[in-house]
Amino acid sequence: MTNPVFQMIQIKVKFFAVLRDATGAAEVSLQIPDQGSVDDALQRLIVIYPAIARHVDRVATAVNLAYVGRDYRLASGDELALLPPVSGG
Amino acid sequence: MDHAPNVRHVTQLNSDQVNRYRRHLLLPEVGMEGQKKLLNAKVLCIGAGGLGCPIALYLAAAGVGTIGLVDIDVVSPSNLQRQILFDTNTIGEPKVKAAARRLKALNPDVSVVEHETVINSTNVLDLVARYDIIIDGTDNFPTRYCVNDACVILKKPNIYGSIFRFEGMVTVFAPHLKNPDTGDQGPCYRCLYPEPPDPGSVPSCAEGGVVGVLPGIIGTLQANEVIKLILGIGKPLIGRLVTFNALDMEFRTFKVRHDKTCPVDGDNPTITEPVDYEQFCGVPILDPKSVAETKAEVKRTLHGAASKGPNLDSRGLPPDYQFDEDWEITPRELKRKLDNKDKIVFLDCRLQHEVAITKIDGSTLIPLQQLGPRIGELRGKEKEEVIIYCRSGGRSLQFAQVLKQQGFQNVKSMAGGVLLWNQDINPGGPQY
Repeated sequence: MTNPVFQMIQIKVKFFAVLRDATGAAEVSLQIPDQGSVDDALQRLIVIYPAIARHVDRVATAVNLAYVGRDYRLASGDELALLPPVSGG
Repeated sequence: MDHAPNVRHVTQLNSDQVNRYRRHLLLPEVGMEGQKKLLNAKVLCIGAGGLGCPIALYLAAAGVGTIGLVDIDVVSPSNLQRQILFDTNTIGEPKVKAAARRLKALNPDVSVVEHETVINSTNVLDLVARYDIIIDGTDNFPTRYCVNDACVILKKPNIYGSIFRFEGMVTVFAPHLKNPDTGDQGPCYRCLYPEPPDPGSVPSCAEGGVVGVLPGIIGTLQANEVIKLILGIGKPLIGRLVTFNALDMEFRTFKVRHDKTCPVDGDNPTITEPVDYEQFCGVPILDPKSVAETKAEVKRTLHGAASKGPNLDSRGLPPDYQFDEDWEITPRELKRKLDNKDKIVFLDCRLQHEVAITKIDGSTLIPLQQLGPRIGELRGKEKEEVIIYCRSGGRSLQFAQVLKQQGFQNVKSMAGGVLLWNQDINPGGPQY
């Protein structure tokens, strides 16, 4: 039997607004442990893109076009969208 | 000019009005009854900027009878790239005044209420209470939280829009109304963003730039939601948030939901009246720096390009500038060093596209964003005098602090950036 901790899944991450600038990317693929949470994905992203560290506490998170909390469990192929607050008008 | 909206009630359209609104009257979803609803509606547009301009124009054209406008700014030349209520002749005029004239000229049926003020915790309830629908088109976080809380407390729909560079978002916050798809209570702004971002971490349009047509697209989407709500037609954008990207030409619709733990509209609200929003967000509603920039912009336009802007002190600094001797050097001192051909490492830490607007000769470009990977280029110069500049002195100070941590001993940021340089040393040089 495989230990589930070591099974990795691939998800898609979409960056909006200031996160696009901080990462230099609109969309990336990310490997996370199966059943990893949104929060796990965010922690992994901070390691890859340290510039987003100051923003992640405040971003709204959505999976497959629906807002979810940080404890939401991700599945393979999910699209995680990170929407930071924007004030311009 | 801050009077209460006229109370009047349109019960019948006259023949001019039938002509003017004929295209609406032909739509069964609007018709005579709908047009009367529009003429009797009272809408408050907070912010007469990029979003407020197209919103107010379309609402006035549609015959929305009372439009309140809140804005304390005057028209500045850099507004004209996107704020289509204004024109070159209105530079320097209060926005609400210039806007009211334009809207009245567009449609004499509309009464425009000028609120030339800053909305804050002391006046927001009184203002919001006088209108049926509130539109958030402001440019700062304190006002967005302030408008949100007042709308929740007074049960008014809040038509929200915001923009950033090439992206925008729109939704309708109305926790007193139901999500038309699910029947659930809709969210408010705090349900999505309970806490404001760290001060300075999210650039405004003035800092980050914005493509001029973007507020036109987002603002007209907001105006569309206002009209639907007034008429009671279609599916209001409650419980859904639409994002738009102008570069990808992509709209996305996210499902958003009410948060039971929300401090203002949750099960146990802790915020039942407006709070101190400047303290909550850690930033002022009116950024003194951007107010000063607007003033200088207007002055330059009205009094010629060579105007020196605000009076500078004996060292060439703006009167209330908090000069930091340890970290900064004035443009005049730098000029002296450059003229004397002193041996300095002279760096520009802005982005490539800013160099094309204006620059100081003799500098090497290392953008702040690239300092990490490019610090090797400066190795071996730890003992030399390093002077860095940027647009207005903020990024160069950060750059200097990083270099000091990295063992550079004599590092200074040029106070006020190239903007101050272009006032004091190179008058008439571009301000951007």
